[in-house]
Amino acid sequence: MKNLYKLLLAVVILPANLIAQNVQQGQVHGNFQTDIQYYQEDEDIGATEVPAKLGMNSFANIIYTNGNFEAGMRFETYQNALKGYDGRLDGTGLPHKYAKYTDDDFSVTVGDFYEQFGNGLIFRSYEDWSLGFDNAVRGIRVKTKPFDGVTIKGIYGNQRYFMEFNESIVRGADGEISLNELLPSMEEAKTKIMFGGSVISRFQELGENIIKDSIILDIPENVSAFSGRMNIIHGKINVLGEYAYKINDPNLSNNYIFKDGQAAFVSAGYSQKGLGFSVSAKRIDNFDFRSDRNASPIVNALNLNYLPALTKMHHYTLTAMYPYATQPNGEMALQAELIYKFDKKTALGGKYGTTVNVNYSRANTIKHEGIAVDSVNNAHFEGYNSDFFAIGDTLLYEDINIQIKKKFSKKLKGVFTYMNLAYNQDIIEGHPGAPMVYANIGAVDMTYKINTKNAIRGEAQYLSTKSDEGDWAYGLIEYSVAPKWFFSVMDQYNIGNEDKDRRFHYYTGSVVFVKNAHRVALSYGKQRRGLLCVGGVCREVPASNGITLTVSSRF
Amino acid sequence: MKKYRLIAIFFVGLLAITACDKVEAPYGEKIPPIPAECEQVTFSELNMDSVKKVVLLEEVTGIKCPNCPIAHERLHELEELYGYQLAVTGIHASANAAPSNPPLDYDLRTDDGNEISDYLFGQTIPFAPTAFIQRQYNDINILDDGYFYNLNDWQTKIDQLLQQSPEAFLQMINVYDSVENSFCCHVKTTMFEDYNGDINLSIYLVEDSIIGAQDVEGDIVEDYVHMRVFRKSLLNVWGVPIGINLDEESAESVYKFDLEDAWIPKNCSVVAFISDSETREVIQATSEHLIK
Repeated sequence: MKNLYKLLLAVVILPANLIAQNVQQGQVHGNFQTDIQYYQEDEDIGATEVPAKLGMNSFANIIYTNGNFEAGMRFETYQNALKGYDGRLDGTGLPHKYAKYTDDDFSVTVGDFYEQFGNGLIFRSYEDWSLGFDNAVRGIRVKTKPFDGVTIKGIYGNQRYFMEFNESIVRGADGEISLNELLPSMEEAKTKIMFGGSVISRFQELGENIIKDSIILDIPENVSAFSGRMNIIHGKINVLGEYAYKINDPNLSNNYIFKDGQAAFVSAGYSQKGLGFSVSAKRIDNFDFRSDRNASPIVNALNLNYLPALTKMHHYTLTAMYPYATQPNGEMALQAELIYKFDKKTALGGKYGTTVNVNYSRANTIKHEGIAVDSVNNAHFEGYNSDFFAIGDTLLYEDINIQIKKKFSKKLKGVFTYMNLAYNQDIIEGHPGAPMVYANIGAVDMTYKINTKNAIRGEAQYLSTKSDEGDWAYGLIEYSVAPKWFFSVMDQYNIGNEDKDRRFHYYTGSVVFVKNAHRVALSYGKQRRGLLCVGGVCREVPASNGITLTVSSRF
Repeated sequence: MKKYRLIAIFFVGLLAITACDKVEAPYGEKIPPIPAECEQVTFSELNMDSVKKVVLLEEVTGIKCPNCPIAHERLHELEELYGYQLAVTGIHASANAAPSNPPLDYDLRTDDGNEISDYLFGQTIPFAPTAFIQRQYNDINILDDGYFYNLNDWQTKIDQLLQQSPEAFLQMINVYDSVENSFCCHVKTTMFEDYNGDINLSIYLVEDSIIGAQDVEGDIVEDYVHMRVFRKSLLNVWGVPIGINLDEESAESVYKFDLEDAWIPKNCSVVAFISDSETREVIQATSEHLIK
C-alpha cells in the first residue's frame, strides 16, 4: 500500500503542477490519465493471480503552441499493462510526437498523426485509450486548400504497432470539393453538396513465401484501395453515401484469397426540433485492410481502415452486455432510429415533455457462392463470388430497443429502456458452437434531486435469456454532492445461471471526486469477464477482483 | 497562389498516383518437386501396436517469466511419462520473452512464434505458464476461455487426447548433411479414417540446451538451460496441404532445409504435425532428433 501511495504521488503531483503558461507568447497545455488496478485472485469468477499484484496504464499529452506552430508529444507507460490489454503494450516511451505548421489554407505535420479520409472506409487512424488501440501514422501529412471549397490532403508513413512501428509503408491522398464554396452561383443555395475521393496504398515486402494448395502464391506487395463519397444537405434532410474498393489483398484474415474487396455505406436523415429520423445501411465484403497482411485478425492492431458498427451504443450495463463487433470479411447491416419529443403540457408529454427514442439494428452475413476448383488457372483462389445485393442467411445481430426519457417533476426524472436482442455468440465472440443468445432486457434509471447540491440516482436492470449464463439482475445506487463528489454501490447478479454454484454477485463500490479539470475515481469490487466495444472495435475484458484507481487531468 | 501550395498539391498528387499490383490467374506457381539432392528413403512397415495418438503441446514461455521454470520441470516429467506420444515445443513470445536489462537482454522470440501465439491467444494473453494443446479450444477449465491451458490442466488434457484412436500416423526420417549444414526431411502421412476437411503438414525446428539467463521465481539464473526452444517453422507457419484426407491414403513429403549458423545441429529436433487447414486444430504429430 505504501508503494501505491508513492506511485500515486509521483504520477499525479508532477504533471498536475504543470499549468498553462505563456512562454514568449507560446502556450503549453495537455492532459494526463493514469489507470491503476490492484488484483486479487478469485478463482470463482476466473480472476487469475497476477504476480506483480498491480497493473498500470498511464499517458500524458504535452502540447506547445505558438502562433501557427504546434509541437506535442505523448508519454506512455505500462508497468505492467492492465489485464485485458495486449502484452505488447509494455514498458515506457514517447511513442507519439509531432510538429505541425498551420496557416489559413496550408498545414504540414511531421511525426505522428491521426487522420481520416471520408467516413474511414479505406483509411482512418485514431486512438482509443479504453481499447488500448492506436494506429497512428508516423511520417508526413500535408493539407492544403488551393481554392475555396477544395481541400486536398496527403499522407506518407508507417503505422504504429504497440510501442513500435510497422515496416510497411502507407501512402494516400484525399480530395474534397464543397460546391457551395467553390461555385459563386451556389453560395446562397439551400442545398449543400460535397464530393470527395480518396486513395490509400500499402507497400509490404513479401518476406517468406505463402503456400496454398501446393502453390507458392504471387503475393502483391502494393495493395491499394479507392473510395468516392457524396453528401447532400437540403434543409432538414441530410443524405450521404460512400463506396470503397480494394484490389486483391490476400491476407491471413481472408485465408489468402485474391478476391477484390468492396464496402458501401449510405445514410439518410431528417431532423427538426422535436423530431429526428435516420436510416443507414452498409455492405462489407472482404474489407479487412491492415498494414501487415499476416496480422492476426483477432488482434486490434495495424488496421488501416475503420468499418463502423451500425448499432446503438448502449450505456447501461446489461443492455451493453452483448456488444456487436464489425465483421470485416463480410456483413450487411441496417439501422433505423427515430427520436421524438412529445411537447410539454400535452397528454403524452406531461408537464415537462417526454422524449422517445426507437432504434432498430440488424446485421447479417453476405452470401458466398463457391468457385469450383480449377487446377489449371486456380480460379478458386479468388475465394468466392458474392452478389452485391444478396443478404446472407446467417443472422449476426438484431436489436430492437425503445427508450423513454421523462421528467416527472422539478426533482424527479427517469429513463426507461426496453431491448430485445439476438446475438450470434459463435461468430461475434469466436466461440465455436455457441448457440444464439436471445434476450429481453429492461432498465429503469431514476434520479431524485434532493436539493441544489445533492441528488440520488438508482438503476434497476434485468436481462432475461435462456442462453449463455442465463438471467442477470443489476442494481445501482449513486449519491452525488454537486459539483465534486459521487458515491455509488452496484451489484450485478447472475441470478439465472443454471449452475447454482455459479450464481455470483459482482459488486462494486466507488467514489469519484471532480474538481474543475481534475478527476479521481476509486473503486473496489469484482468485474465480470466480457467485451468492451467502441464503434464495432472490441477488446476482451478479463474477470478481475480488486481496487481500481483512475486519475485524470487537463492543464 | 503561394508557391508552397503548389508544392503541396504536387506532393499530394504524387501520392495519388500510387502503385497497386493486380495479380492475375494462376496466382502463383506450383511448389517445386522433390529436391534432387535428397535420396529416396524407405519407411518401415507400420506396427499397428505402436500406432497411437501423439499430442502436440506448445508451451508459451519467456526468459522473464518467473513461474515458467516450474512448467519446464513439469514438461520434462510429462515427456518421461508419455515418451514418443508427446511432442513439445517452447515458443518464446509475449512480454515475458522480450529482452530487457542484462543479463535478460537476449531474444529467443521469432516471427513465426509470435504469429502462432498472436493467432491462438487472440486478444487475451493469460498469465504464464500456459500452453496450446493440439490447438484445441479449452474444454477442461471453463474459466480459461480460449485456446490455452494452464499448467494444472496439461496432464488432464493430454490424457483425454491419448484416449482417442489416431485418425492418421506420421513417420519421419531426417538425413543431415554436415558439409552443407542442411538436412532432408522425409515425412510419410498415413490415414486410418476419412477426415472431413483439408489437411496441412507443418514442420518446426526446435533446439535444446540453449544457455542463457532466466527468471526463476524472482531470482535470475544466468546459466539456465533452455530446452525445446522453438526456432522456426520450416514451411509456411500454418502448414502446406498434403492432398489426402481419406482412409488408407498415404502421402510422402520431402523437403530440404538449410540450418542457420546459430543452431547447433546435435541439439536440434524436428517436430512435424498435420492439422486442419481451416480450424488449425492438430490431428497428429511426431518428433525426432535431427541427428540420432
